[in-house]
Amino acid sequence: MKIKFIYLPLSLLILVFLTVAAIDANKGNEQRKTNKDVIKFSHELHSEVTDCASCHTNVANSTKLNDRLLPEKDVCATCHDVEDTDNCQMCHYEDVFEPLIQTKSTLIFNHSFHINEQKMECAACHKGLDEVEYGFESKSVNPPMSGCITCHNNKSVAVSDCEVCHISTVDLIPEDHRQVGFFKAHKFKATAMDNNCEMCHDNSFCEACHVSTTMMTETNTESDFYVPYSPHKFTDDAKMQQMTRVHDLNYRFSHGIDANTKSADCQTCHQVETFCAECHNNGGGDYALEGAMPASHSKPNFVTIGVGTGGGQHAILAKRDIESCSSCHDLQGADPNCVLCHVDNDGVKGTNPKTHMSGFMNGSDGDWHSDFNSVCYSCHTDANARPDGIKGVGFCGYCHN
Amino acid sequence: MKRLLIIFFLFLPFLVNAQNINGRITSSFYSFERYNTASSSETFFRTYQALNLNANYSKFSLRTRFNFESNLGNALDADPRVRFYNLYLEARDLFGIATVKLGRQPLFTPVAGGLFDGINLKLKYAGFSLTGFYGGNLPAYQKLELTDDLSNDYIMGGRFETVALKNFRLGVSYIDKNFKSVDYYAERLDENLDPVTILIQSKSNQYKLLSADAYYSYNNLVDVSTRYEYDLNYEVTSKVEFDGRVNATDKLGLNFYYNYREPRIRYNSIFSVFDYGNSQEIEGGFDYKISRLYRLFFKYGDVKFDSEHSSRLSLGVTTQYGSISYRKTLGDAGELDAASLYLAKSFVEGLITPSVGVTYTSYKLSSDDETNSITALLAGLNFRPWRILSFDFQTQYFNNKIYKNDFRVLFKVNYLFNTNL
Repeated sequence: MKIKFIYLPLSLLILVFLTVAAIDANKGNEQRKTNKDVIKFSHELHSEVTDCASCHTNVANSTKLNDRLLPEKDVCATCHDVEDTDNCQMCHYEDVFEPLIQTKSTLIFNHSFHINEQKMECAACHKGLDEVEYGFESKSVNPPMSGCITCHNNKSVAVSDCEVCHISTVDLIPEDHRQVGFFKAHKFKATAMDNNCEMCHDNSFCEACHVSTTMMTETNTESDFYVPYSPHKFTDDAKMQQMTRVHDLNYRFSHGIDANTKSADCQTCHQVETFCAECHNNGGGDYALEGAMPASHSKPNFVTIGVGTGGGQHAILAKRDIESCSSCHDLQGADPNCVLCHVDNDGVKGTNPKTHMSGFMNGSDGDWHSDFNSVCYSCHTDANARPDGIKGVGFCGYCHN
Repeated sequence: MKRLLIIFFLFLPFLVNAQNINGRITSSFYSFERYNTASSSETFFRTYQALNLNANYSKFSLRTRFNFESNLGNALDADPRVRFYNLYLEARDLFGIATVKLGRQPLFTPVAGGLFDGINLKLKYAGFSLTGFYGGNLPAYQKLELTDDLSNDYIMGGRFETVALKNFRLGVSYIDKNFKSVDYYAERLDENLDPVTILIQSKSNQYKLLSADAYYSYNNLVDVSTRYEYDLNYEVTSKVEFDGRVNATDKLGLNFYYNYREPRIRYNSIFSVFDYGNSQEIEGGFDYKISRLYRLFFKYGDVKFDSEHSSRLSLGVTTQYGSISYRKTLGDAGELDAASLYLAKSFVEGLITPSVGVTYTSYKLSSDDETNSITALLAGLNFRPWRILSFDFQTQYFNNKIYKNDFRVLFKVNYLFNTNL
């Protein structure tokens, strides 16, 4: 069954993907022709005798990056004698008389606005041209986004929304974001003082996951339930129209596996003492109807009663993953049901189910010495269980003889 | 409404004098189905109106983000709901070193929960930075309210960081989160086994964590991040993390991850006194750049609990236009097989961007549990006639143990604006 419906289709999909990838791999290896193959030219030399606008005459009026922005022959003719056929070799290669190659851009940029209205100089964005011959030889000739962000930052004069400059927001995934360990490593990068996350992400992006679903109060009735959509999880672009927003749309059903395997730290976003119990709040059925109790709880050996019985399966599960226990049984303003058994009412060791590890808090000057609100007094209820109790008696007698 | 008006008039002078106002308005409509009994379900239509608004004046900004949501017809008990995610003033580069934020703002720490109402001060100078923050925890649903018990319901902390050492980044952080649980009465037994009623009053000391982290990067070849977290309440190591990446070649990257973690149990929780175990996780993986567009990835991880363990693996291919992946989990914490495919591509210079997604998951929550399967399909279209205005339409299909052939629709209008005054 699994082979037919899961592994076979999946293998086929992967095979198709890899085949296309292999075909695509050859495309990247083709030698791309550059203007170095078309004309002899030096920006370094020309920057000493003229300014950018004298050659790139169309730029100041251009509103699109795919307008023709490179100089035509007529522009060269303002300084060079282009009719002098004896001197063609100064600029042209033998039998090569092609127009300059302009790469196609997937960006939206209005040169006219930035030059005429914002009064910006070419060199403010296009740096390093005076050090190279051809534009593509300079790494900084096309301004990096870190340059754009000085103005496009939502703080000064322009917004940083992706779609303002990018034609498509689908393929804006940086290389390092596609690396295998990025999900777990991103917190290290994001907290760094020299990070550049803000080039693409504002607070609302982070808050999509880290806004914290705390203190849910829904009672899971027809008129009061947790709705399955939260708009802050969507960024305004199609890239976020995907299966995994914060969680898979069906995550409600399989999240227990991630929670149990610690694949994700749920408490980064969810205040578990109020979040989990909204669904896991009673004795059976399913989430949509009446809450969902973990299947393990209804098994016959889940709890074994009596000192020395070991407690049954619940003790094993609790030792393995007590976070899961507390996420449902540690409710705001409610008594956790573990204290039905794990309670010490008589102050005598060994008469109730084991709760603490051996030597628990031994030698520690814990808060039970001074504060009756200490969590200890939720279970230790013998007459002498209190701060300043009598040495040697009941709870105090566990340590003080 | 009264609070909104007060806030509005409080910030009105700033808005009036702003040099730049920008933001985004998003209006969404979502239809979904919910079963009320085993045999009857009801379809709901819910709308969401979200606003991001930034007003800027020189080094100062007012940053806001809130969301209004309500059902169309058959209103829920809590409708309409207004959530305030951000509402803070920001002053940048004061005296060349300081940035201050005051109000409801984001905070990203392991236990802080994303947002708080308070103040955040960051000093940054010559490769050193010092951050401090203090404020109240948020009320439920990001309501526009402040805690009335700041002494028991606060978050504070700080961070010192330096990049003064070449190739290194070193940091030390502290966080103290106090959140007092509600007092309640409970039945207990006295020494004669007679029931007595006692008042349970938990204290508010919830989390106090001290952490140190170090990051090393060399020439885009090696990246190593480590983090050590110490729990000051329990006086134990709470977490140790190590994440390393080596770019073995231009195409091949190797990744290794390790963590040791104590369960995160609040100090004021009854569960803090139980005898529980910790967990350790090891994960290794690689990604290989098959071509200009395609990157293959694989990772395998194992989590060891007190006496059991759970394993998982993921493999897939990512592209600029989407990804295909397979994930498997096996072991004592449940079994899962999940395959997913997502693709999206823009056409006509970004005018239309169709997207499709499919996931199929087969899972068992424990080894002796029944196997269930879930399927989800997405088909969407983003239509952007102008840069500042776009429309999202998406259909969603679900099939799981409760929702058989559930069909949902999402429609969104997005508008962004930027005005220099």
